[in-house]
Parts: sequence; structure tokens; C-alpha cells
Amino acid sequence: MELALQLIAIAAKLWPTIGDIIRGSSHPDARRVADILPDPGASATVAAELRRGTP
Amino acid sequence: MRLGIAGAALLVASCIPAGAPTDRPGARSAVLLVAEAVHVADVTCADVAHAMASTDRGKALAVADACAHGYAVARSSLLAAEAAVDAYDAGGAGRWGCALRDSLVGLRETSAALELAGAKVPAAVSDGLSLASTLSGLACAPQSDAGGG
Repeated sequence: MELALQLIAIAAKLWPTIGDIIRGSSHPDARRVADILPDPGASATVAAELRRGTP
Repeated sequence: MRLGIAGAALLVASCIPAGAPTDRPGARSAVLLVAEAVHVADVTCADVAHAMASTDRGKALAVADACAHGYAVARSSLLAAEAAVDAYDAGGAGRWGCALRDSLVGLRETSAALELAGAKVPAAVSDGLSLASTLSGLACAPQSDAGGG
């Protein structure tokens, strides 16, 4: 009985992490615009390189 | 990957009857698909500018700057559209379409810079433009009919 209570307590503590893992793998909201479009973008990076004189 | 984006964009667009309001999953899918189109446009433009740099550095910089500006405009609008979708039931349903429409300005700018540079605009970008134009037309209602004269 005591062991079961301890397991429940551990599971409760880990639940936010488990939830994050579940959301990260299958939640429809997992992909975000900021993941697709980093700041700065590729063109801005190339523009900065050209200004610095690096190829 | 790019064919997948184009196919998904066409699928989303074809599944929305003319004049029908878009629900939250549809809105979110549309925002993410247009973001993918913006990403493809940005990467393509960066490649074009990079290749151009060896022959005409000034023109390459102009192309990269134009694309970077378009990207920034589209990105901020899409972040706003996504925030509106997140708050769909709290008023966001009436805002995401207009934010998506605003992202068109940036995507068009990047697309135009690619054309000016003599590059082919990828199908995923054209499809993103088409999808954003169609959906924002449906979801961003003009305010003119609210006043009643």
C-alpha cells in the first residue's frame, strides 16, 4: 500500500514532463510559426554576410 | 517536402467551400502552411542571392535585403495570426484572417524579389500565396457593411 502511494506520488511529480513529451510528439499544437520561421531568416543571414564581406 | 506543402495547400484550399467560415483547425493549418511557403521563399531567395554574390555583389545584397524585409513582414503577421488562432474562442476567430492577409504583403515582396532576380518562384510559394489570398478573403470580412450607411 505504501509502495503504491509512493509510485502515485512519483507519477504525479513526473506528469508535467510526461505531458510535455506527449504534446511534443502528437499534440496538434506542437508545430509553431516560430519553429518554421526562425529570426533571422536565411535571406537576412546572407545579407549580413554580404555586408561583412564574407562569401 | 515542397511537393508535400503544395499538395497540402491545395487539399486545404479545396476542402473549404466558397463563403464558408473556417474553423480553428483549418485556420491553424492554413497559418502553418503559409509559414512553410514563407520559409521556402526565404531559403530559395537566400540561395539565389548567395549564388549571385560572386558576379554582382550589389545586386545580390539588394535581393537578399528585399527578401529579408518581406520575410520579416510575413513572419510578424503570421505570429499575430497564430496568436489569434490560439485565442480563437476569445475573439481571435475574427482576427486571424486579417493577420494572414497582412502576411501576403511580405510573401508577395519576397516572391517579387525572386522574379526580379530571374529565379523561378517555387510552386509551394505560389500555392501559399493563393491559399492565403483565398482564405483571408473569406476570413477577413470588410468592415464597410457594418456601418449601415
